[in-house]
Amino acid sequence: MSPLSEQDKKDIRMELDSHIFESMSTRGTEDEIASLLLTLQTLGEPEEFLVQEVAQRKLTQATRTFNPIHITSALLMNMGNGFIHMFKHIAFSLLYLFIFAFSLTSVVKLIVPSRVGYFTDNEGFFHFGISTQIEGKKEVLGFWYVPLSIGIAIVLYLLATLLMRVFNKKPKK
Amino acid sequence: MLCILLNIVPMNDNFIAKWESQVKKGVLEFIILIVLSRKELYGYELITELKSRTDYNVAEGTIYPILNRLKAEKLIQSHWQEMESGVPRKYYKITKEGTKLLQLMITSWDALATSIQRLKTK
Repeated sequence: MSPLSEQDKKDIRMELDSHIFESMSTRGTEDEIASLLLTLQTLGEPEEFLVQEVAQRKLTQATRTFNPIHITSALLMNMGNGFIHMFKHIAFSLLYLFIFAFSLTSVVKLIVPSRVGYFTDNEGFFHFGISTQIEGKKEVLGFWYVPLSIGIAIVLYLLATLLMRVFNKKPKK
Repeated sequence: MLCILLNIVPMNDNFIAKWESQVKKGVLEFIILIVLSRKELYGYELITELKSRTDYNVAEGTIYPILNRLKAEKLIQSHWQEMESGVPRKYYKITKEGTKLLQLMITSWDALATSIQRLKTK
């Protein structure tokens, strides 16, 4: 439960405490240890239900806060839960990786300005980003590429997070 | 012949058991919404109700991620209530949105049941 907020951790602990208390209470005056063991047995393996609970809450936290650390943690956690969900989260991981790589081009622009930008020519060619084939091509943005690429990366990041929030919800009828 | 039968019967039982497990997992949210539409219940009470009214035999802890998911969808809501025992209970109840969705799910379920019945009788 360590990746969760203090409020979520407290909520889960209280709910489990309540469940164990109620379960043991309904068993009457049996041997307390035996009653507790039976309660824990019927509760199930924590690896089974707690992992789902934690991953679900982490994903909710990530899509509400737009925090990249929470998003990374949520994606890593949910990748372990379920085959289909794994593919969905791998796809989002690749999307975020692309956004991160794209935003890095703004840094590369400062290091190798002639190789990064928006390249065009008279024959309809255009390329946005890092290019090795710049002979005969004209770079039109100059250092405006830096704020533009950062702005695009921010917009894509927000859209990807909103999209992940949508995919996190089940379709309603 | 006996050897062949001995091999086939356990495989069919296993298939049925897996199929039933998948079907039950699929309708568990539906069943939870039906139960909560009748009465506000706390977690352990809901599990007891499910076990007594259906033949669900899942690990009790698996209910909580489902409740959390329904709550995130705003189909149910919860609140903590202090008890004399000193151990508070978390009560769940269905929301208005949950009630509307449940009606649609019931309609959908009835339509599915009718289609299957028609297929069986053809």
